[in-house]
Amino acid sequence: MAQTQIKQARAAWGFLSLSLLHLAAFAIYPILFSFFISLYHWNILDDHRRFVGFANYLFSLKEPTFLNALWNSCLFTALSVPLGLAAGLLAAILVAQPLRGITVFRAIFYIPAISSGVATSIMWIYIYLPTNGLINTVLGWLHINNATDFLHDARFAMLSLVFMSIVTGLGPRMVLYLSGIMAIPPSLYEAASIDGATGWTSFKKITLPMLTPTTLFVVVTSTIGAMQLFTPVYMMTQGGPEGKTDVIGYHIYTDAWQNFATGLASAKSFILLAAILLISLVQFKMVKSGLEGYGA
Amino acid sequence: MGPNVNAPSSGMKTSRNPSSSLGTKGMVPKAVFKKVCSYAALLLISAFMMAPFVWMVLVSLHKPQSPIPTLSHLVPPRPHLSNYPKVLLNPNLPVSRFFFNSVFVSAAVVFGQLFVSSLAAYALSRHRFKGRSTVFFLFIVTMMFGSTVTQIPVYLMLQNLHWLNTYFALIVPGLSSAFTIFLLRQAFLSIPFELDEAAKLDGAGEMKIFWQVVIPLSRAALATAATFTFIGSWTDFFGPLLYTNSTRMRTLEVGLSIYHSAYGGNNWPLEMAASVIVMMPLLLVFLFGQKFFTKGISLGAIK
Amino acid sequence: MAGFCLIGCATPHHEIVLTIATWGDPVSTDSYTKSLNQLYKNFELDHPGVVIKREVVPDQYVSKMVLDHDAGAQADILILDAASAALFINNHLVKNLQPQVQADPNFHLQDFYPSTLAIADRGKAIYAIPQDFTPMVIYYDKSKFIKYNVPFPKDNWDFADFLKTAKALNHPPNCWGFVFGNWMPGWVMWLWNNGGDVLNLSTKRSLGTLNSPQNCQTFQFLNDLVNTDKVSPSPSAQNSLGIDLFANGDAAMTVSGHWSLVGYKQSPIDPKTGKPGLNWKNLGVAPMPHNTPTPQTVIYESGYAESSQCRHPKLAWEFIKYMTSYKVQMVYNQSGIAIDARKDVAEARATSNLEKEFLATVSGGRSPYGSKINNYTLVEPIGQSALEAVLTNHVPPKQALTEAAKQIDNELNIP
Repeated sequence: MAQTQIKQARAAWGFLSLSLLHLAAFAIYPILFSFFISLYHWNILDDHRRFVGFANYLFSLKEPTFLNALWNSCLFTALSVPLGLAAGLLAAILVAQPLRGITVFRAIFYIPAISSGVATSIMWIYIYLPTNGLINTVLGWLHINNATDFLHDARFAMLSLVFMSIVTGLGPRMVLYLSGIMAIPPSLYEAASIDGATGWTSFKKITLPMLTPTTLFVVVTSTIGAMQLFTPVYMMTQGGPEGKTDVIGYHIYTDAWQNFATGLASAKSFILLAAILLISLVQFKMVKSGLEGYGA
Repeated sequence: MGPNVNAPSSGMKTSRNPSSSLGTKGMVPKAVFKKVCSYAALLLISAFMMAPFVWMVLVSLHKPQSPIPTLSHLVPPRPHLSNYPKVLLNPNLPVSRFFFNSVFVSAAVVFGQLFVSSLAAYALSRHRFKGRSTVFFLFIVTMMFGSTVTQIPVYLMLQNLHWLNTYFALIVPGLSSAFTIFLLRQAFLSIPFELDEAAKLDGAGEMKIFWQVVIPLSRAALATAATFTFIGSWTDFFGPLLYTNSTRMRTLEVGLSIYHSAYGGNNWPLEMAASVIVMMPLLLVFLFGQKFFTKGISLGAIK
Repeated sequence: MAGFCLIGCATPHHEIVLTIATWGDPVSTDSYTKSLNQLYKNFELDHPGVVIKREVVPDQYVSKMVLDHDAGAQADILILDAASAALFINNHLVKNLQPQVQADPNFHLQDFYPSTLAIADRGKAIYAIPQDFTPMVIYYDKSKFIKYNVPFPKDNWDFADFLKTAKALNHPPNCWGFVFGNWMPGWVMWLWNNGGDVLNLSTKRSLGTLNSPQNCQTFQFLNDLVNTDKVSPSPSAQNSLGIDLFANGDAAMTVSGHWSLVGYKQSPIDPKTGKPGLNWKNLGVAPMPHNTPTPQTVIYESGYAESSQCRHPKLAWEFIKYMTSYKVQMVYNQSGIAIDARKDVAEARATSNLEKEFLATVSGGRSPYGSKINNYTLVEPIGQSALEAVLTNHVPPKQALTEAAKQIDNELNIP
């Protein structure tokens, strides 16, 4: 018996070896090595590397542009995650109805999510153009001021990125919620309707609590994505106007590949990693206690 | 975090739903009103989702260097189909070359990733051994962190291997994926273990069970994983942006960004033609693989 | 895995491959690429066994060249852009060519314009042999001046004359008085021509220089062109049109370099008139308007440099010498992309009035800061952000420039 167990284990590690090797090379080693680099003054243009301890971390936390980027990323996350979640849930409720042709609508809602990030960004540059862009054209029909340059106006640039992320991320969130809604046994609603609970009450007492695992998954994955936002900023705003859309993903990219400050950029990416971990933990706690609040 | 394959997952065709079971007592005016509102909302959102794509195709048919059309002039008087060969054969930014690179890299990543990940998924679903849950946990955790943290060390590693600006740099980092392992593991778990036992009694070894029992029974899951991997690889921007630099090694996604910066927003027709070329394969794959999509996404949700 | 080796393995080993890295010109014409390839082919014929390979890196050239150097994978020859030359020279990414120049009796530095040589020299050392260059100038469309009965620009015009001219020409949307983009290399001369500057060259500090009263005045002037006098379309308005207004014949004046001539020659046909929007024959060139005694402009230049990891130094020098020779440059310069750095070629080609006007502006040309200051490429996005704040978001110039100066000092002093 023990022999077959050993044999099984040996076979299992054999099957796992390639992906474990890959995991070690492209995930574990880079994270460890990144921490090592972050402790050095390490600049590609400067052969003189030296150990500086946590100096890069201290410098980062005092650097106004980095703090601004950190703030922008948190702002983007705080806006895009809850709003994206709500939009996803609403869309799921909408397309969960047994309407004719609903599968076509589901597919259309999903298309932006499978699109190329660069092509999507170029599309959204058009959507946000002053006067001639899609949004401003509609505003023009309604006789509202249609000269707003959404991506270059300091008041709207960040909100524009948030709105874009809600629309382009709608599909996957909708599908997740849809499968969550489908998994709720209809008997629960029937029992509730006998007690006189319908509409909003049954949504609050049954649908939302039953969807908590889905919500947790959507919140955590969306947060991780939102904190690392890069392509739309690279393509559409380059961090402007006035640094209003300079998010961490873009800030670290410019530090690493334009300023060649390898050590400093590594320290910043570790600060980002810590921030993501912290936020995810808080989210777990919050959603859990929210679940208990519903008595589920 | 248990297996979840038998939970009802929503295909695009399912339409069982709680509200329907509540409101089946005939078509009262309220229900009609609700239906009309729903259709209005669906149509409005769909129009907003589709409008940019329609615009993209129509603008790509305008004369090069012509201004951004207003909506009333959106349909070109005479379609300039010649924008497409012009973009594909541009001697300085050869989109046809980018296209080849994207096809080659995506194909290699899809086959490589499916092979490597299905082996791992097989071990994680079919074998009991010490450390299994640890390994599984490790895969899930690394799934959470993107390339922001790993970009510098991976770059330096590829540099030491002299892989920068080669196909290796574009393919090897994508050869395994925690998401695919997870997806395939879920599917493999739903295959009855009795089949393995029967095969073992017939004298089949591990590899034979893997190739002749598990893989053929997981075609749908493999197709799902392939669709996701293809789209992920085709639209990967960060990797090719960092790990390649010469024109002949760029992929379509990076090529398009170069196109955009080269024209500086002053030649939308050509830029849109390039965008259409990037988008077409994605839309085709989506069209043929959309039922796999919903399934895969639902499987990805850890419950 | 052998299947991966599609590239690079095809070259037989007995050949010597000389690689040339260039940012290329993604939107340049086919004929430019064809003539360049022919020139390379001629060099290969003269040097049997040698293959010239052109590595085009159109996106983020500077960054990629630095990373190539770090990877030990530099091309043999780099095209050096004056706007970023300092980064290459000061960090030893390119070699001093002075020994080759001195040892070669057939090569004479006197053949080149001194202002172009000045970009890549450091005392006696010289790091790049210039190929071509361009000053930034005001282009104007004579037909519009005639139509609205406005006298052509004078060489000694100041900001007020310029504004008066632009106002007289301004009949939007089919004829804007002046059009300019928010691209710092394209507007930094305005600061100089009002007696301002970006950095204090001796202290390498920006605070106190960039936010000087003169610069605030200049920013206010540019802002007024767009927002008060409305003789220039805002950057937003230009984006929403998606065309080069001057090339399409919808503006009377613009500011740019010689490279724009390539595009102006191919001005799109106006559907209303059936003629090109901008007629080549109506094109005029004037120096920058200046409140200073003489007009100042910037000379953007490109040249050939030998990388510090060059595998074939002897051959590389042969190639550089070949490419910068009279014979080759006479062919190369036909593309019209820039003014030749060789006096003999430039003068031979300056047959048109337009080219002569160009040559006249060269004397007031200064090297771009990027040719002297290491990280100047980091300064430009900050400057653009400041002008955007003023033009689009109505931030007072003083505030925008002070903020930018602080950021520049911060960026240039990262440990």
